[in-house]
Amino acid sequence: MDSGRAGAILSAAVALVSLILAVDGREGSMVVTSFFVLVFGAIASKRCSLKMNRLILIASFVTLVCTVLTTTVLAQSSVEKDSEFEFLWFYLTAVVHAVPLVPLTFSTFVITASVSEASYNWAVVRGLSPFIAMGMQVPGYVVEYLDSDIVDNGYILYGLLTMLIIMAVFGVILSHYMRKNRLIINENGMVVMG
Amino acid sequence: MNAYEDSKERRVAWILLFAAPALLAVVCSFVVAGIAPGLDAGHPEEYLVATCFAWAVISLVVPILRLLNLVSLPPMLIAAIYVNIFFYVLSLCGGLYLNVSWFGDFGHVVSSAIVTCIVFVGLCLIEAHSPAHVTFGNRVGMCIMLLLVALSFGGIWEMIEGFTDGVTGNAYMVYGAADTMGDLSADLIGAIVITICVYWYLGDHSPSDISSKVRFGRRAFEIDGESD
Repeated sequence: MDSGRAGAILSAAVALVSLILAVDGREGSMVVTSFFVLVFGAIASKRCSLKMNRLILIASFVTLVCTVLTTTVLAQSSVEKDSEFEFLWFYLTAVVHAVPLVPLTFSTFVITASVSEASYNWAVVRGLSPFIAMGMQVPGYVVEYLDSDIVDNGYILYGLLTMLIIMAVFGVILSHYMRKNRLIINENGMVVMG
Repeated sequence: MNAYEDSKERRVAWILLFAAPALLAVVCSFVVAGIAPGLDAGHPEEYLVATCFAWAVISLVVPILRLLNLVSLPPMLIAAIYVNIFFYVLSLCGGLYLNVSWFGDFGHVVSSAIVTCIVFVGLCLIEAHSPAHVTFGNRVGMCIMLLLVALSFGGIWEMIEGFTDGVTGNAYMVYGAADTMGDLSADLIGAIVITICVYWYLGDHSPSDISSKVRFGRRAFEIDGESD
């Protein structure tokens, strides 16, 4: 078994564990994030480079760690409505939900390119990254709505705002790197423009 | 473009520039006079007035961009944008969002669908005005980007509502997190419906069919014969 195939199986296994933990912990956002990792990993194993598969593997472990945090230490049952800890909890969960979506947003560009022969430059990456990341968050809130006992709107708003800010910063950094090195994103990941 | 097209578009732009804010001012007058059903439904007066004012200002964007020869949108898209503006304002001031249990979700589906159309036009323009090596790929690639970007605007809308709460000290997100998530769910439905329609449309068309109907940049407004 080659390392690429082993990595793909490992990332699928890790994502599946994350998915099960998220479902058990009623963490809709991490259910969806874990699902993205599973789907991206499956596509990347067939269509993308080894480097991309490694990134998905890293994303799967990051997702698992974040899922464990949000279902244990940062579980909703640990916070009391209108308590002093509530706002800190909003911020912490917002960051923890956003972190796995950073590599997954980059993966979205590569995975989409792999199934559609798309090709993105630094400007598209800079402009669309925050919107793609937030768009990937929304289904998580929809899943949470199916079993809703969320304490406050702050949970959603801080989540979206934090994602927007983190991804805007990441998008600028990545696009600057791409522009400086004349890179585009296609199904092979970041490649030098021909 | 020819002189007749230019003259027709400019006439429509002038009409929109005055008529849309004027009509919204009429709606606002009902609120200020205390007879708008939305007030009885429970919306604060300042919230309805601010809504009318904000959308009156936003309604100026399309005609101003046209009159400055910067952007010209297809008539159907302009119609969809203005229908959505008036649908929202009239529904809010008419109290439908609070008096009819399902109306809020319905409104979000409609608005999200129209926003998705606008995003699609935007993505087509990005592709048309980017270097040749930049493309959203086939219709699968376009639809994936369209769905994700369109969904984000649902989240942005909820953030704006939350920011309004913070600035004004009122609780406009009065129904709590469940209502917000319901709104996002409705946004998802609207975005999915239009994305499916776009997927079907791109079976026989290309993004350039859309981008060619949008004029963007001063050069696109040069009258035929004038540049000779």
